[in-house]
Amino acid sequence: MKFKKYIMAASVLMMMLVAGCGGGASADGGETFTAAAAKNTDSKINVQILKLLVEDQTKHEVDIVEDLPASPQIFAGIERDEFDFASLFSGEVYNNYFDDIEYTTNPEETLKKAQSRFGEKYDIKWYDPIGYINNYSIAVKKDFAKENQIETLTDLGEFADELTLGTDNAWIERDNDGYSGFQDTYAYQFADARGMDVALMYEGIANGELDVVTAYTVDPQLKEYDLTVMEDDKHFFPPYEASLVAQNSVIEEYPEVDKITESIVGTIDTEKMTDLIYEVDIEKRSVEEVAKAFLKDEGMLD
Amino acid sequence: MIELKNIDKVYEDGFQALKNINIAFEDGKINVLIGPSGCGKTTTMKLINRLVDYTDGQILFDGENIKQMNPIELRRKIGFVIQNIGLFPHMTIYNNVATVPKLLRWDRQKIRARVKELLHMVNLDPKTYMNRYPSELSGGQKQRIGVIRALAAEPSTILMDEPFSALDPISREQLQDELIRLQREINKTIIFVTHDMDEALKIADQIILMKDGHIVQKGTPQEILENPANDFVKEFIGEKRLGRRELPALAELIRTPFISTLDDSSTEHAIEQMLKHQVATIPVMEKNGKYVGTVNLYDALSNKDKQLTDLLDPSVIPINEIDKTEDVLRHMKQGKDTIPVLSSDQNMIGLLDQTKLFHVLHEMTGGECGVK
Amino acid sequence: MHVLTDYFQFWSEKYASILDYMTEHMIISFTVIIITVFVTVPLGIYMTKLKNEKIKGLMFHIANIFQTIPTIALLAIMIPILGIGFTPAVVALFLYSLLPLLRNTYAGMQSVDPEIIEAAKGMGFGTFERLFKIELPMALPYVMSGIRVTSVYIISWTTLAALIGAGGLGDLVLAGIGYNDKFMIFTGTILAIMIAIFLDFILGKMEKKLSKV
Repeated sequence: MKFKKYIMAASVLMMMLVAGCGGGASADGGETFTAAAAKNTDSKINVQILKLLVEDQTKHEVDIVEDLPASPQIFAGIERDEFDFASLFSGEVYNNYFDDIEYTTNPEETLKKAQSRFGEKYDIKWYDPIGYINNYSIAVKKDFAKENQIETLTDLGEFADELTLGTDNAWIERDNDGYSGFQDTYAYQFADARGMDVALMYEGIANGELDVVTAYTVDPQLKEYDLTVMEDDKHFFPPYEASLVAQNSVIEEYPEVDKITESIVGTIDTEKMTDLIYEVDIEKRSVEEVAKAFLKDEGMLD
Repeated sequence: MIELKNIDKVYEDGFQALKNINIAFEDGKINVLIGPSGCGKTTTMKLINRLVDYTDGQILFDGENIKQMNPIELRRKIGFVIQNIGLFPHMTIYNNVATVPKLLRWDRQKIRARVKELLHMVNLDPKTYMNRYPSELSGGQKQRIGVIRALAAEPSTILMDEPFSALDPISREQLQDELIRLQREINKTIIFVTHDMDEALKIADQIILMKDGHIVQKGTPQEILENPANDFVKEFIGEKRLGRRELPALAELIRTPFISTLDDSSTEHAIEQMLKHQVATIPVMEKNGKYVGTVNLYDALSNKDKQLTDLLDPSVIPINEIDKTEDVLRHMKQGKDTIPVLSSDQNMIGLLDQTKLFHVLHEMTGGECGVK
Repeated sequence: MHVLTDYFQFWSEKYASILDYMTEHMIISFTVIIITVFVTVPLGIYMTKLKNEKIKGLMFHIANIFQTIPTIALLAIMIPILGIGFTPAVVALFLYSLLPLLRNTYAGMQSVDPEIIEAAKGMGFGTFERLFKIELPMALPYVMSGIRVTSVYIISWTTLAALIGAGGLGDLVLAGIGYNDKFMIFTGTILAIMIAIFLDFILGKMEKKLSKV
């Protein structure tokens, strides 16, 4: 189980204090940067790729701080100059950071908003997407979907009052893209909705305790537990496109690192990322190993 | 009366803790079990209220075999005072003392009256102390409570396991005195465990001396002191205490120099001598040192014109230096302050030092000075 | 001042769901506390009477093992047996609370001076009279402090219930972490602390009352 207890938050804060900010000298005369990732595996892979490439092509080193509980902790670290790089999602722009944001599910507009608003607020460069999309989605068991010929979220509405939803703890409380917004858009609710740990959510649906779960589109558990993602026919869920971000001050001083980060843009599509996560989460290989193998396959690393 | 008959105790591991113990604890007596640690004295005591079981033999409590009795009822009939006092710290003094009467479901009024009576008995004011907790009392006070708690339900028998050993010497002496005084009032059968010989000698009617699980000797303190059964007993009692039992040789009790007068001196001179040294009698000697007799001041004053040799007091009987000190004690009955000591050829050696003799006697009979 | 008015607004919008979280939290933790006390205290007492050191050691070992199982793993094991929600949360929390209270009760009973026990025995207390009038009252400070400490633990651990869909204030905290809402985190935390302080206060009063008997 790589999903750590949320109590980890405390120790993570400690780690952030200890990790300090970029600017430390590396062993062979370069800089040591710090890259942050939350507890989702795709983010860890992203920063690992960055680390491997930077350390391969420059004298600099990259320290990774991972398993942060969620994006607010990453932004907090960026604000205190503790993180030089991070892996983030465009959809975060709707996550209670800006009071006056206009909500849309259009991917391009969402990306633009994230690049301009976050770029301005935190003085960071928000790169173009890595290529894969990790949307919130709603999934049910494949058998159930087939049996009842359900394909879209609208279809699912017919059965909703008999179904129990399992979701992460935040989704129920989110405004725009959370459960209340979902009810506004699709005009139905589930018999019961329970917030829980994501790992246990999958255990729950596998054991028949839950009927519906909110999944991320790249979650390998979808494959593992034979789940089907419902088509978001009313375009309710905001797009979550992953990008790397960097402190402007850092890439101005080290343009070579900016170039490397740019090179990662558009390299991993959704299918590829699902495979990579599967390798880590299900096959239990290390993130570093998987990232290295990927880069070698792509010819980006010898 | 409690009788232990042929008691053996063997532990599961084969260790024989008690060997053929036979004791009769008579009613109304203080019986002291004493011996070095590990000798089985406490074990023997605990047989009686069945805190310890025995392997072989028989224990009779007023003729009844204690194995036929319910142990809990038996224990309620026997007072119990343990080594480190064992007061219940979470209970007030009242509740501590009332413990067994409460277990016996006495009437509340009766319990109250009884507790007050007992507190008075050990000179603790019920009003002041009843609602205090043990932690608010001094060591001596606590142990008084420990003792009266054991007396509360008027048991005929009381077991005391080194009850005073944790106290300071002064409190210990006081409580020993108090126990002796109390015993005169309450007249219980007391079985008292100690390792302190002074304590045993002071309080016991019967001493049972144990070693390695068997009884070495039992008897009154007098009997044991006078006839220690073997070297172990002697050693345990201590040479000092045994030594004190034999009076010092007479030679140690002779006082020299002494005032005397010659037989050819005038009576006037003898009176002068007596007044000068503030004595009421004066021995009269020949020039060669032979003892002639003793003249007392009263006779001399009323017969100034007579010769000294005519005034000799026949009631003053001299003792011989080879006499035993014990025999000398008989002479003390005379009540004279001068007892001359003579050599075998009737020469005067000195006077009997009566002060010293009284001092020695005082120590021997349990006086407080020096018996350590 | 801006923060205060914002926070006030947060409460006025959310008070219904906050109270729900709090009620869930209290129901879960109080259920666990009651079960834990009624199972563990007698068990701890029983263990002090147990002569067989091996069984005793084994029991402590088992209680200890529960402590070392990672939360998520323990909850995951329970899903096939107990499902999700209230029941597995209560059972998991009970298993976690077993050791601290067991240890305290055991230590409390062991702390009673053997001489006092012998004195009581020698004075004619029966087994149960001795247990209730002497041993338990004397062990009470330990047992009560065990109950108090464990209760505070339980209230804090009950935030874990949110991991298995049982709700409680942990839900609020986790939602706050995921949704970038400091008010949620703050409210969930502060309410859990307040429940813990309140309960500790009540138990403290109870302890005083009991120890006077």
